[in-house]
Amino acid sequence: MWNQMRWINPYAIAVLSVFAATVLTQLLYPLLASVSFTLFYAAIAITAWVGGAKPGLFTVFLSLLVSDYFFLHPDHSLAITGQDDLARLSLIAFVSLLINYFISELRGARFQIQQLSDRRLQESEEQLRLALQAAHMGLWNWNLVTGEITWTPEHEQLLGMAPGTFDGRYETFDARLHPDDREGLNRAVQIAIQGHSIYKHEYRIIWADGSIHWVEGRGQTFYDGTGKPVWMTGTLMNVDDRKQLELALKQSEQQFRAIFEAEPECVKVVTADGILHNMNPAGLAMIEADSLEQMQGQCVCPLIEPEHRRAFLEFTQQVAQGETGTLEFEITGLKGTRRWLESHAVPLQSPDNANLLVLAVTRDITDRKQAEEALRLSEERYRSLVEATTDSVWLTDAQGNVLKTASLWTNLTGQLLDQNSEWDYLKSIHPDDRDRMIQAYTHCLATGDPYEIEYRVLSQSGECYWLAAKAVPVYNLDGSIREWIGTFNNVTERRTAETMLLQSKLELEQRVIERTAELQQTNNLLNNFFNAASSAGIGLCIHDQNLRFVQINEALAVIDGHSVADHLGKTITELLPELAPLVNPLHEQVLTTGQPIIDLEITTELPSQPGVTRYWLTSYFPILSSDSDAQTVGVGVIVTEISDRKQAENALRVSQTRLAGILDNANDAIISVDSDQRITLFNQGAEKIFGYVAEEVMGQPLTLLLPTRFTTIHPSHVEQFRESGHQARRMGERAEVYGRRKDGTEFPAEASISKLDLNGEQTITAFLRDVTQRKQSEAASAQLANIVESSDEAIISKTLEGIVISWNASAERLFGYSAEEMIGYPITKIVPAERLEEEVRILERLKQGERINHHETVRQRKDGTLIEIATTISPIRDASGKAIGASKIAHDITEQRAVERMKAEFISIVSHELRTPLTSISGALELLSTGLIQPESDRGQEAIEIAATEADRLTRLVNDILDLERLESGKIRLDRQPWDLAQLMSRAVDFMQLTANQMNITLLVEPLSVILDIDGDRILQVLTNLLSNAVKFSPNHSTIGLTAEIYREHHILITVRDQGRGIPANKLESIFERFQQVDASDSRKKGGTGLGLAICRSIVQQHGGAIWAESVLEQGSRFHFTLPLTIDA
Amino acid sequence: MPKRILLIDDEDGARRIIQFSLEAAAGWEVLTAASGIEGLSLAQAEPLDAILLDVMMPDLDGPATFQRLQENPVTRSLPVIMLTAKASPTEHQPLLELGIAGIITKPFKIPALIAQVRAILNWQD
Repeated sequence: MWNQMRWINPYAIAVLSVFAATVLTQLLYPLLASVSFTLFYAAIAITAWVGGAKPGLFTVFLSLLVSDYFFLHPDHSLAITGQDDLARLSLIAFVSLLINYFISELRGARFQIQQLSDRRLQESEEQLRLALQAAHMGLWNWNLVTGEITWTPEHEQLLGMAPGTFDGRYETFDARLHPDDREGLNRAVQIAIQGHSIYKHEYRIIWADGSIHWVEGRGQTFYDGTGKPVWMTGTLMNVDDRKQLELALKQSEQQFRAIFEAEPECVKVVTADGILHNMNPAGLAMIEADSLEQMQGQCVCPLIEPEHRRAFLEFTQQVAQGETGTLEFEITGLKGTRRWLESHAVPLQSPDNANLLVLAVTRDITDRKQAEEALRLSEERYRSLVEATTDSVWLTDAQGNVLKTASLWTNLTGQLLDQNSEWDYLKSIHPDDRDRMIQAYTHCLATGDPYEIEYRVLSQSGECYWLAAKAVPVYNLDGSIREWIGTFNNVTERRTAETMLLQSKLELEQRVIERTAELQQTNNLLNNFFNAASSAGIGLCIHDQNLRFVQINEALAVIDGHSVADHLGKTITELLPELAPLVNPLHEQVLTTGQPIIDLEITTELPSQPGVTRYWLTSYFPILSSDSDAQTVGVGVIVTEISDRKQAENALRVSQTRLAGILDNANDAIISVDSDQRITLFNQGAEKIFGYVAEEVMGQPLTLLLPTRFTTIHPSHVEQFRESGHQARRMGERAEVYGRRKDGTEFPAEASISKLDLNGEQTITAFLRDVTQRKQSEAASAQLANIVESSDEAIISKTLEGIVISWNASAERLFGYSAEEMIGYPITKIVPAERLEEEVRILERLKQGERINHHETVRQRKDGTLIEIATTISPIRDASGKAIGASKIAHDITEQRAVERMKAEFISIVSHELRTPLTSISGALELLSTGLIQPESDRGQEAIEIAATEADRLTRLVNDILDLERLESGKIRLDRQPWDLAQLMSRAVDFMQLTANQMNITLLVEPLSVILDIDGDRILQVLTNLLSNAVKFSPNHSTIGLTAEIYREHHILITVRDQGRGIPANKLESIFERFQQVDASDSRKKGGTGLGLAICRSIVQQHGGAIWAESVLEQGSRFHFTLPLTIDA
Repeated sequence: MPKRILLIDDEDGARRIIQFSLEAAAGWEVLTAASGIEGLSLAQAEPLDAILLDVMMPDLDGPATFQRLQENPVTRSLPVIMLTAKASPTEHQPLLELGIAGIITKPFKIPALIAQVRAILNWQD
């Protein structure tokens, strides 16, 4: 209420309040005991409160006047009569003044408080504004009823607007919104208004300069009593930095995610307890999970094979405690596939920092494991194969100690061989045969010769058996003997038979000798016996003490190649001299010792058929006299041919050795097929190469192993081979051989094929080698060689001694030497004598492993010419990084150097041509300006003229240089238009007419009217230049011709003829080069710059034409140029 | 006696201007020749103190003219200064190796030209 009263004049209040007090006091006067001035005090108080001290004083004054006039004696007079009236009035005045004073003080205090509070408000508003400014935060108010919007200057700045420029319209704001964010913002505002919620939204603003900024708006809606939204107010903040950070984080996350997703190995994160946190797709494929969710949060242990679980968990826990490590274990995937895995794991800090996690990269090593397993199986199979082959196979080490006992041995001798006891088996060998056996086996062990012997063994019950033992060495890769593999054969029966036979013969013979004299008829019996033996193929003969044949049967005689009669009475030396050295000692031995020699195998050539080697089993036994002293009187000989047996044994031995070799060499595939081309043998090499196990393919058709495109043709090739006379053949000599693996992939192979008849069944065996890698490296190497060979750079390699190792085609071209002439020879062949030192230095640097970059030097070609080359030489290193040679790449820089020299020369000429006129101009001006010569003098005039002429020349020169530069650098485009050549020819002649007239030269022009697509100004320039040259170098009173004609169908030939002094033949071409005038000094005098013809040539060439000159000295020159009749756009 | 100098230069303008300069500023007497051949005969016939010889001239160029001057006992002892518009030291070196007294590069200021001639020939003012 007081506030409203403040607007009323305080003096009016003073008057009104005094008036009111007077009236009221008058009215109430009768009711009051005495005159009361209370109401006047009230009036003073009101006035002082409203108007302050001055109006208060005014009220006091009015109140005193009124009181005196109306209420003090005398009434209606201002005069004061009584003492007490004066005292009353004074009291009233005093009280009134007090009231006025206090009320106005009170009012002042109130006013100050108000002011203070106002200032505080203002200050806090200012602070808020500064805070908003500092935070880049704008404030906005939106009157939802009128649509009017107000923004703080910060808000305007956030929208890229100058403070104070916002017009308060929503459309202005809307225009700044990013189009993609407009809808979202509107929706957010609507939701906030309708839902009575706080509005908060991030969106983009496009500034007037096109830059895009992220902002975050927040706001609140105010509603009227009916709940209608009337007002919205809020803040706006720039969030560019945060958005950029978010974007960068998102990109980084995406990158890591991409690496994680694309990693071909399994990458997983698990806890120390094996709970899966994360796993990439490669890993999910490995465990056969369809999605991460299928396994996430679960323990991976159930996937791990039970025997590996413990190790896996221990490993995981160790890694979780900060160690790193590698573990191999086996799993069964969710779909049942078993795999061997190898995990490399490292500890990983978990996001909450609480526990260490385990990050593992896991690789599928099933193939490797399978290969190891296959190798183990192969070894086992090999052993069982050997074991199963025969019960008579035995093995010893290289020292002859038993590794494996033949079961035959154990069966016969009952001895269980002790592998730790040296040559334990000797115990069971017959004491008489031991030394022989030791000697024979010791010899074989030392030499590696095949071991072959027959000896007796004794059973524990004392029975005696004959064993034929044979063995061959098995070699290590380094050629040393690893072990001996051998066989036993029980030959007891044969031996018994032989001995029995021998004994019976012995007895018989002895009886015969004893009773020769008296039992003549018995002799016949013996003869019969001899003959019977003969018919059984057994040779028999008897020698006397002097080794003469006493008796011999037909069989042996045939062997010896002599008749029975021829033998009798002759010695072996006489009859069979070549046999004598072998058998005579045996006879002597028997005669001397009286002991028989039984079953000696001898190998001789057949006496009757020299060159044919046969094997014999021979026994020599003593023939005792019939006397009781039993003296040896002769030697009986039994000869049995055992060639067949020997050959069979040899063949068996060879075959066994070969088989052992094949089995050892399991890298090649060995595949046999029967006559139906079904597989009957499939070794481990084949398993490895084809990926099948033998069980899968045995009995299957061979085509299973062939690429489908060969399945028809290949079997017919096999059939052809089967029917051919060849036993073996290398395949792939004419065409590549390919195999097909189990997984369908093809591979190139090298193969050979052989056939074998076994018991009437024909087997074809193929040996295959996978040559994929060789082919690849051959191809890579061929490609490299091709690159080197086809390189434009000379590529040479040499040893550190400087001997050339390789020399490519470019090197041949560059240096003139062929590869044959260089390879194996010192590189110094191409080094000029004076640079030999340099080559030594280069080799020194290469030996240090240094590389020599862009070394420019000079080398000598085969024809002796020197060439400048740039070369880069790098050391070639061996696997250990040691330099063992050098490769050198070189190219010819002779031409490059020539171009550089020409360029320098050209710059020098241009510089000279520019400096020469400058010398004259600056000199002339200096002479004139310094007053050394007077302008008016003759010399002064001459100097001025020289300066002008030279300035002119300089201008032309600079123009020509610039013109030529622009033409040659293509900075000037031809402005092609259809032009009538006749018109250009006439204009060119018109230009030159004046000069020609001065020299009395006749210009004859024969215009040819033809429309050409040319740059008319430029062609006119060429014509003018050629005519100008002609005029310059023509004598007075001569004629110059300008003609044009059709030339070679599609061209126009334009010719300028003069009768001048001509051009020397050696200059006819060079005059079109820059600054190559025939006579520079003379030409300059005539105003030439030395560039005119170069410009002409450039213009003509750009038109697709040619320009040349012909000349006869002292008779004249002809300049020709051609222009195409139709020029392609 | 003023110094007598022979100037051999095929460039008409330059020849005249150099002649004017030397005569007006140094007070020397300057004989001129427009070619090496003409210069050789003048050098043979006239008493001279020095020769200024342009390098680039048609037919008989500066070095060739100098060679002829050296071959002639009459002119052998004459100091020869070559004038060249080529500014590069690499282009100067072969000329200096001929045994000439010095080289002056075009263009030049007249006082500098005179001072250079004096310095090269060790002439006092």
